[in-house]
Amino acid sequence: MEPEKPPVGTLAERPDAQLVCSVGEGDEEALWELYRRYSTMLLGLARRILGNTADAEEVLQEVFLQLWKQADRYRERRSSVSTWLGLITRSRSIDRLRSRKVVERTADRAGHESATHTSPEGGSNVLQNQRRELLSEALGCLPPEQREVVELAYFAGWTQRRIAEHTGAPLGTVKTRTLLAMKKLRTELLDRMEDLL
Amino acid sequence: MNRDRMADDDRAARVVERLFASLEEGGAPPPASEDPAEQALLREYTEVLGLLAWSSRPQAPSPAVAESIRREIAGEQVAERVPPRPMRPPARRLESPPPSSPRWLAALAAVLALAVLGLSGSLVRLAGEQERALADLGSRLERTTERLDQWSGAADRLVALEERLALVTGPAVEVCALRPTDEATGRAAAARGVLYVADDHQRWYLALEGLPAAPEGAVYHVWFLAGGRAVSAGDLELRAGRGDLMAHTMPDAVQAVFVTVESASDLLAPSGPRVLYGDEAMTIL
Repeated sequence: MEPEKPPVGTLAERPDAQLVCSVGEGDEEALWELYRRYSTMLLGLARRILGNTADAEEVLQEVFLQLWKQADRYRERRSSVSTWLGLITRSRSIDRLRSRKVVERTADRAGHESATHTSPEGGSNVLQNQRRELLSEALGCLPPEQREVVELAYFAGWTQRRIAEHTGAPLGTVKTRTLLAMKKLRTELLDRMEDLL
Repeated sequence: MNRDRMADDDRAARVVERLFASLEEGGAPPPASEDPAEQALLREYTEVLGLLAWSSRPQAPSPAVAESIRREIAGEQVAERVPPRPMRPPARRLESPPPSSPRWLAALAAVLALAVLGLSGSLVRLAGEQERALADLGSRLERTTERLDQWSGAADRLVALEERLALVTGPAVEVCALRPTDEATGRAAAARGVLYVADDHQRWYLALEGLPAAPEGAVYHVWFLAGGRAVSAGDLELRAGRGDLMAHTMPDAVQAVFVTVESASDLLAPSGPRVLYGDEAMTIL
């Protein structure tokens, strides 16, 4: 954990990193503030990877319990809190996908999802939709083959070797496409990074 | 390209390589770099990657999730507050053995020494057996892992082939023939190709044949013409004059597909000669 700063302002005004610090000290309210800020985004991510809401909700629960127990593992120097939580969610979702814990829930999928697939409310909804639009725009700027390698690596958890096998492109080409995609995304998003995080 | 630019490119390549390696290893942000400039870049790319999560449609969790987390946390706190188990009463000291004669003591010492020797021998034998078993298991694991890698690679190739086959033979697949253009010279003038587009207008497969090897330092590049603009679809690798390319996304309103010979891979627009072109799609029912 980075050096602590004294908490300032109300819970809703406190920056993410301070909240994580407080969670590490056993502050449950700080955990719920982070849950309020990120649970919808993280559930959306887990659902996209796993394909069903029931498993995604189990992952979300695991992620916040991990945050509760291991908040001291967060390193502010390495990433923002939202990125850290996103990477934990992605990793747990892909682990679950690989370990075949995902049982076919096709029968109840439609009903369950129509009942629970709601958007977050209020300002958070607007902000999240803005972020999503910006990200979609940035991804839309990528040539299809570059977008494909990044999405397969991030959302499907495929190794670059597997992507190469799947697409029939040499491994070097996959790596080049990944680099070009990341450079373009960085160029597209860099100016807006502070607003997005 | 000047030296600074090359150094920046090298740094970016290193950083992205590290980032994706950490993604494959478990997904935690990669460890910090000792070079401040590289660390700053690593952090930026980590955030760019992290932002991809926001491209998913947000979904509010059901109240049951928060409730489960609350229960787990409360359970943990209760467990922490459970009072320590009462200490067991101290064990009664064994009564002193009856006084014994020196002969009895010598016999006991001899028996104990033999027992220790026997035990040591057994332990050495067991340790040796365990070592052999570990070595055997290690080599079997290595062989199995190698086979699994081979099978996994073959399975991936099979899946890719099945996917191509399913697309080509799918219902309402659109087919567009690519023919040599006036700019195609030599053997390229006899090349041909077919683009298959699935009914979702996202998945596509392009198969080409008869193309000569690209000139030294150049590659064949596939483009879509969409909305009057050329959109890159990727480099084409040739094997014995044949090449194919498949992807799961396609720009909207594609009017044509064409192949150029390019000497750079990061192109925003085609710059080399156009060797194959196709703009007439037919639907096969």
